[in-house]
Amino acid sequence: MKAVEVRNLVVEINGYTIINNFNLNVNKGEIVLITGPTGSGKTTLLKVIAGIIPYLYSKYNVEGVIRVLGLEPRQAVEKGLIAYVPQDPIAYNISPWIISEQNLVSPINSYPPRFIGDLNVRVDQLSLGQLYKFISTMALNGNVKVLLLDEPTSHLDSESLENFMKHARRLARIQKLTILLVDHRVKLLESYTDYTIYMPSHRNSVQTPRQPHVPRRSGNKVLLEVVDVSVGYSRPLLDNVNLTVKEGEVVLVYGRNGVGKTTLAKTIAGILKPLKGEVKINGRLFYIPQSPIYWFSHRTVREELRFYHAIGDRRLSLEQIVETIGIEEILEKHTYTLSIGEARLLSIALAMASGADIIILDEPLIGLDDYESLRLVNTLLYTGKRSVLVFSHSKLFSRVADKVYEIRGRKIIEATS
Amino acid sequence: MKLLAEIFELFIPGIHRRINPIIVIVSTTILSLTVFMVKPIWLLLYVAVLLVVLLKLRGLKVLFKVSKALLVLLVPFMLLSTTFQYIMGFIDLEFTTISSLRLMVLVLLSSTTIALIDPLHLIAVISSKSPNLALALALVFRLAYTLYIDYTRILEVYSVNLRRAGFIKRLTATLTATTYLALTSTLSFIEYFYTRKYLITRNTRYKGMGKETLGSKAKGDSKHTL
Repeated sequence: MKAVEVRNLVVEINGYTIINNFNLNVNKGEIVLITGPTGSGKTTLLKVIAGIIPYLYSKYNVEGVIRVLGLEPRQAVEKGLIAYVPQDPIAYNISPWIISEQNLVSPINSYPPRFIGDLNVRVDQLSLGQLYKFISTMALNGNVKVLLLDEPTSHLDSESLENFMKHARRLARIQKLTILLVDHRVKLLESYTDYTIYMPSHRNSVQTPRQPHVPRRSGNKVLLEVVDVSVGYSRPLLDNVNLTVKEGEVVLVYGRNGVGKTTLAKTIAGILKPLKGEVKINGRLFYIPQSPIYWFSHRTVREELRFYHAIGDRRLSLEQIVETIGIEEILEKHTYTLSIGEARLLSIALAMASGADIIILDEPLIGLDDYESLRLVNTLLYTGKRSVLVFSHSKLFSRVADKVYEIRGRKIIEATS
Repeated sequence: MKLLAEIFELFIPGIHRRINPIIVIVSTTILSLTVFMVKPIWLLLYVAVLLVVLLKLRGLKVLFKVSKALLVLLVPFMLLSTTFQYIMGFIDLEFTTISSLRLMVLVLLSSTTIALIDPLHLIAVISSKSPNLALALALVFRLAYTLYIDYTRILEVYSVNLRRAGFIKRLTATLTATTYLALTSTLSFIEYFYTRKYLITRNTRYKGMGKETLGSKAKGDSKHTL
């Protein structure tokens, strides 16, 4: 009996085809990576296998044969044979408290979340990386035979990913656990997987920039200066942080999960107060958070852009911004139906429309495929005299960065310049 | 706008499992009904007792948050009540004070109820009898937390990005975005709950709950270090 069997799968919604004639056969104990561009239906496939579609969303039309350990997906879910770890871990837990959720873990397979420290914390007090680690390890417990992981590399740094995959691989070997991973980063994951399946895309929404109205220009004016700053909540996560950002510079701050990147980003943005030291800002900030990816307040992309343009300095016209970022095709789309890549590009367009001098990007590559990641990185070349400060666990931005800072322990050091 | 986040925070479910959640819900419902029957002097006693219980459950910081939240809720209520009475041609300050006290007790009682209930415990107790009711109650209890998380996340982003927009524009945008986001989060929560239902109902049932609080268990657990 196959662990997962999918034959001639077709998934449609409102006449739009998301998955067309897809086939998949996975044996027990195999680890399979499913990859493909954004919009190819990877997450939809996982939701179909997990029984979420069409049982919770009746508008979807699903045709074909789907069997999990010989059962209908719904039956397999009701027997607790499937665990699904979503891309956005924040809505996963029922109890707000980690200790309460951890109590669900069966002692047989328990893989204690040592990385969290005090378990008596609320879900929203953890970083998304820590939370993803927690829920993915929780999912490995119990009676689970098929584990579905959505975008694990988006949240996990390379060391955490290695630890988790080694543990998962051991369970695959000993307990015949089958793992289906959906992810864009094939190179990072192929050493842990048995084989890779590629899903082609059926749509092409974001265009490449045609008229770069605002190529990057550097200057000597210091826009941001962080002087001997300590950041944290009750105790410091980072000490004596010093960094400067000049006009037109792209600066990358690189570090592992849970080291305090988001806390530093929020402190620089003025959301949190530094425990010590001073943040000097000579310009206007725009903060693009790691989460939520969707933080928009208007129905369509066009309305959202107009709103920010109206409160900005209007150095650029809306048409120039739209052309520079390449989002002409999505102007009439609802802001909450955008793909993650589209939402990220819209956020940068909003930053430009608002006339911000410094754009702070927290983990901007979450949920983006290789093409979209490069597209986002290259977009930063067209931000004019604006400075961009990127916080990421990926070094991809070092391609366009003028400076790279690395967080090691509780210190931040300038890696290259 | 930060005060609203603090009000939401008052309604975050707790981790205490000493008392059966059904008993908590039934007794607080009865108590809330008595608020409209007892003599006004008793309302002061209700407030004092509930404040002590809340302090015990949620810690010292909650005292400030409760005070702020009650001010935010009560001042507009009292003003509206007095204005309405003025329009009607009489002013009865005693009536306004008693009504405000009743409102205060109801807010404190709701906060205490939610603080006394762990949603997972609630599901464990109810799901064997009615899984759908368990799901509905879990959703209700989770909604306050969803609103808190989504509102604070939006508030943080807009405190930077809409700093130059006026207060009304920022407030409208914050509330609209929170509504959109909370709807999306609730749908995601239902999806994840659906796939986890088996594990939750099975594992919470046999763990012999009600013997100790999870908080006390966590304090003794020293192996979980960074």
